[in-house]
Amino acid sequence: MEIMKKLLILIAMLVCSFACFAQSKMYVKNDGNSALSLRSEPKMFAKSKVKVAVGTEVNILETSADGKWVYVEVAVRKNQKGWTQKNLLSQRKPSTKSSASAKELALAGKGFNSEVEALYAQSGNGNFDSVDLIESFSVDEDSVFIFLSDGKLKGGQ
Amino acid sequence: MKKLIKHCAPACTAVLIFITMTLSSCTTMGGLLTNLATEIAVNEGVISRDTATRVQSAVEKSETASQGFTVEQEYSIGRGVASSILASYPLYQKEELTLYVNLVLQSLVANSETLEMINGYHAAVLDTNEINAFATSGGHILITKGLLKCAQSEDELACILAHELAHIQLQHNINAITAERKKDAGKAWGEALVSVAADNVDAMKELQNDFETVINTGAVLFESGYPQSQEFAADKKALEYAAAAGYNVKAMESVLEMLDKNTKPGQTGFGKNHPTPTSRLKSLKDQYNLYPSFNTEKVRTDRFNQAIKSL
Repeated sequence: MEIMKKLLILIAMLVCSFACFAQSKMYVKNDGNSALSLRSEPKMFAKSKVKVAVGTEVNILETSADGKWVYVEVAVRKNQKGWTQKNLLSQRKPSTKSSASAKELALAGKGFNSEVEALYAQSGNGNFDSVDLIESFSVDEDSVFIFLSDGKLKGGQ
Repeated sequence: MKKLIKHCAPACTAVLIFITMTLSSCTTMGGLLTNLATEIAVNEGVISRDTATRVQSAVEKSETASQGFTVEQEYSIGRGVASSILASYPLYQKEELTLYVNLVLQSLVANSETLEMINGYHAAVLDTNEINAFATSGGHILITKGLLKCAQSEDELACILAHELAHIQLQHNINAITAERKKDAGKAWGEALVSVAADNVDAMKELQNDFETVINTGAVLFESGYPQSQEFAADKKALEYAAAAGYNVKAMESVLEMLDKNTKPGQTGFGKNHPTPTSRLKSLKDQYNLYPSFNTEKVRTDRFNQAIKSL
């Protein structure tokens, strides 16, 4: 009995320490856009050198002085390098599905699944059609850039 | 030997749980350790499969309540809360206006660090003359026609949207839900530790109730509003967002003055706990000069007037 308890504690501690330190990879987040631009400079709307897909694994090579930008290389294609905003990367590999089915995957997360959402909707409680409609309305990066420039706002020309 | 192990089963379960609680320092560690420990225990015949499931579910719930939700769960909850609001208020579906409001929102998002959203940030207008706005943990920002009419420039609209964005960043909605969930977690623990009887709980029903409770907590805030301290905090953070994008922070002052004019004495125009525009103006008085000052550019006001023509 004593030996088994000790074995369990040992295994638990080993697993804990192993998982705690495996934090070095980063992945391109799914923030509603299908791809992320790696740029020539640590500036918004700087020239895009290459676009990488959501979920792509990257290694951080350098961080800007203010900590907001990182220079990364694509893990499996190291010649693809560039600057991106740190908050567009995640330590967790995100869903690579399109935004339409991101909902399904997200709901499949612990506890709440699409069945639960459907039941909630069926009982007349929630209007998910409108939510889907809201989420389907997106503005592309180029339009935002033009909007910023025309409006004499930061991040535009 | 086996008799001795079975006799020690409840003690073992308690020890396993205690170990996982004390060793969980990383976000998902508690759950991982519990699953590992309970699986080993089941294989050794120390505890039954049913008990293992209840322990795992209890740790999961408790972990969720104490360490916050995952990004996926926050998105799911945000959708649920939005769906609840949208069951009461229809969408004002004017494409040009919706596009415009989303462009202003994205102008703010592009210029500041914001929380990861599974599906990005989206704005929409609600078809009601009530003055109200709401932001969900799923990145949805809903603003009524009534509130939109209180703005007289893009800069003022930006300040309104920035305030809602701030509520999301400061996780006011999700924190209220987490607090509610903590009460639930205590109950789950008790059940797992005491019971080794056959598990006859309907898992789906439990999930459904959980989802509903969570949604209702979030949606009720739309009616009552957040605590005043959280509203003041969102106002301050809004100035930060507005200034970062190059908007005139003083536009917050002018829109609050308009809100003051449009709300009856004793009412806030928002939920009943909401601070009055007067108190918000007072709280912000010395904050404006902390930020760079920009003019309200005519080009922005012109396109704002164009966009809201339909209202």
